[in-house]
Amino acid sequence: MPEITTLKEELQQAIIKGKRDAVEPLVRKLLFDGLNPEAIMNDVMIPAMDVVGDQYSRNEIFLPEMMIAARAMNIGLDILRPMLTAQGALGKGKVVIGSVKGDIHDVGKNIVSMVLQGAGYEVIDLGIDVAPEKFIEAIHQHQPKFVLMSALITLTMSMMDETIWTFKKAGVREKVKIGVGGAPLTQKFADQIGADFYGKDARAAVIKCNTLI
Amino acid sequence: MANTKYLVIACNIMKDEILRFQTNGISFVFLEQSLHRTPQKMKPIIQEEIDRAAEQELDYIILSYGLCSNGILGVKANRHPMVIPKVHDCIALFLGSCNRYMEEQKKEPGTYYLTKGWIEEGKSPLGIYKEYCQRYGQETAEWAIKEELKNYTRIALVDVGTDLSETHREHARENARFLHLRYEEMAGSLAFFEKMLRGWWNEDFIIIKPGQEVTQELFLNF
Repeated sequence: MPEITTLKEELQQAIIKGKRDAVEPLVRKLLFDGLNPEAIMNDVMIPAMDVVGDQYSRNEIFLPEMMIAARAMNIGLDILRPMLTAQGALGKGKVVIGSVKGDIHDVGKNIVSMVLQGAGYEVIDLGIDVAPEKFIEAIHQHQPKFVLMSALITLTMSMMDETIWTFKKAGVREKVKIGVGGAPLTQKFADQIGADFYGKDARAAVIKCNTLI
Repeated sequence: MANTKYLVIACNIMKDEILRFQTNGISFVFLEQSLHRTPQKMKPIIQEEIDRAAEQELDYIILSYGLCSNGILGVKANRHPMVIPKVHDCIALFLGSCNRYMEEQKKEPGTYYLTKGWIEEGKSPLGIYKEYCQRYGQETAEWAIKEELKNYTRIALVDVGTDLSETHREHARENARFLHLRYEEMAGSLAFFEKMLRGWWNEDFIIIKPGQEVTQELFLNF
């Protein structure tokens, strides 16, 4: 079906370029032509954000371009989310996510949150400046499989260590898999603080969650 | 220590503060601040300056940078020992100590700090907004800068006593109005700069041997 292929390509480009007005009609056309919501998400929209993330990490684009692309993808996700929920496609499990205490940056965290939803996870986003106790409350309340923490500045990286430490003291460390991410982080740092995994970008976070379900 | 020779490699943003402590035996290289938003580009530019100094007779190279979003990771001086303030970024330098920076951050993590240098280099939110305007047009630029900084709550103009003028203050206030943030003036200090440039290197400084690379671990406390 060449037409679907073209539409998919157009939607992907619309997200990469952040053309938000183009997103809704393209998603609706693809649905009308019989492509299922999961395929739109997995084969078109998530790969589009991958392209944007790669361009950003190579300094080919700047933060606004990435935010503009994320805004466009969100429009698509808003259309697909009710369908994905109805189909039970969000059944991979719950993820609690947040920027750690002292960190108010959330552009990256929001992209990870969006891509995880697209990939079939139910995401409970605690927002920014999330104290260890707030994460623990959410673990008790939602019983998630994963807790993902984000830090954009090196200043708040040590808060990840403190948060994991607080989990241990509260006896909830073993109840969840912990993933960490954010621009200044490394695999080595994740190992040092005893996180279960490090995700260098949204795609990596999804892949790691998928392998640990 | 009258004969001690230092080369200071520093960010342009702190030029005024550093030149306050100019004495015989200290030479300076100032590099552009725009590296702040592209930390990946910092290392080669700083390394080039260090390599250029390899033939000079120096006792120490003072690298007046913080960890700067990992911008200085991997930097090394093959011939000279290097002294680096143990700070995440230059705000700790302007505030006079790491503890003071941590206190302010604890009190209000959504603080956008401005100094004389930051304003003059055009690196305030309004300066960035102007860059965005040229690139994306006004409407998108305004959305982008406001979205990027939406969780910030205050603009703090740090006064270290290096001739802040009414123009600087007005520019800082204009930033606050544009982003609908609270405006505050905050007393800074030259103490950190003084310790660094007079050779009073205590636990607030990292001293690395010739050939040793700068790593993240040197800056993070566990």
